[in-house]
Amino acid sequence: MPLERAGIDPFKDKFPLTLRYEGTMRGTGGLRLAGEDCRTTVAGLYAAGDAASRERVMGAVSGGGAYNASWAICSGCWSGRGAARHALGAGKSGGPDRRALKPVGRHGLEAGRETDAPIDTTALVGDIQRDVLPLNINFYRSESGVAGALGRLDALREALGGSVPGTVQGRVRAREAAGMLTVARWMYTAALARKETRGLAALTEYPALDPRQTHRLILSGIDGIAVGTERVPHAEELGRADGQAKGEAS
Amino acid sequence: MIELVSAERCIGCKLCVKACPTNVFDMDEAAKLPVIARLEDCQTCFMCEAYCPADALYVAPQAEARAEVDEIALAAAGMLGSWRREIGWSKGTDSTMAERDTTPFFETFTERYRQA
Ligand SMILES: Cc1cc2nc3c(=O)[nH]c(=O)nc-3n(C[C@H](O)[C@H](O)[C@H](O)COP(=O)(O)OP(=O)(O)OC[C@H]3O[C@@H](n4cnc5c(N)ncnc54)[C@H](O)[C@@H]3O)c2cc1C
Ligand code: SF4
Ligand code: SF4
Repeated sequence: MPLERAGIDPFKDKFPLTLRYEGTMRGTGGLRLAGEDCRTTVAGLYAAGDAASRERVMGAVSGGGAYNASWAICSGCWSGRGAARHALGAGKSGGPDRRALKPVGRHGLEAGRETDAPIDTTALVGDIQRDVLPLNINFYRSESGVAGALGRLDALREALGGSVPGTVQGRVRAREAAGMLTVARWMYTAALARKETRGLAALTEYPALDPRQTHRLILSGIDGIAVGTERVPHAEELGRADGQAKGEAS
Repeated sequence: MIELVSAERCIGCKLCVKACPTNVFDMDEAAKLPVIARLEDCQTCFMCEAYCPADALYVAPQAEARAEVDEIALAAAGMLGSWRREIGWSKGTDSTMAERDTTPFFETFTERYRQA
């Protein structure tokens, strides 16, 4: 329909195409699930759909254009059931969860304010996009390019310490900007931690798959980001098979 | 991006304000007319147009550049409300897009392939 409206016949006319790339492993990464009921490592917090990690169904490729919609529906059912069970009777006493919860969020919120000057969300979002959208940084990834971008993004964290506008739109924007910045930093931190090329993860300096890195990357933290790995089934077998193949070849 | 709110056609129902997923419109309560308050947030999803019962909106297909539109020309070309009619949301349309979509499911493909 957009083509029709623009008077373009896609079968006959030339029209400009562009690659849109936000560069996360969208359709793969997300909040780490810690059980089949889609619980996370935070008691009482359940994740589903795009918010949940999907490496167990996707491996190292994106679920976009494939599994994502069905994953959203399935994990939505499982997590909903899990959360309901938790609310009903998963408290330590065996009864309903009656913990008195208090908000701990700070990023892009009034609780995280350090100065009186308001957060300039338009400028901040522009700054983040300058290091996320360019294909030369984010699609054709090199160690130096990604590290440079990560350094600049880390430096932007300070901008989140401003005051948050009182309007609904202003509050949403500030929180969105904080989310964008954090995801961008997670994304590049993970990119640098995988010194190989596997599935959609690529670094020009390491063009080949390295069987020793047949593991998942687990990131945690916001101010400081820690990177851990998680074993995947068969990783050792793959490594052994590769070693054998190399041994036979030599 | 959203380029036209027709003051002539709009009945002030506010549906577009509610339907827009990125909150582009504000309602001018005095004029009973939605105003495009945050054009830069428009993602060219055509949702507002689909919801508008008065065919008062036009979303241009250009997602990143402004497009000049002329209400009279758009109306004459039958463009106002065309998306809503296309998907079968207007009163009096005799089919929906979903009904007309005859793309076979994968199973049908594989079945045919097996028989061939
Ligand atoms: C362009 C595109 C094409 C795609 N194509 C395919 C495809 O062909 N096949 C496929 O399987 N998948 C596809 N996907 C992926 C699929 O659409 C998503 O994985 C799926 O829709 C995710 O569903 P969800 O419910 O997890 O998230 P969403 O549908 O994103 O729902 C999240 C909801 O949360 C709301 N929300 C956000 N913040 C807040 C807040 N603070 N308070 C309250 N509400 C909030 C949002 O408004 C939104 O409604 C595509 C995605 C895109 C973007
Ligand atoms: S096209 Fe979509 S994003 Fe733009 S104003 Fe309409 S509903 Fe909102
Ligand atoms: S949906 Fe259409 S008629 Fe209703 S307020 Fe919006 S523009 Fe006006």
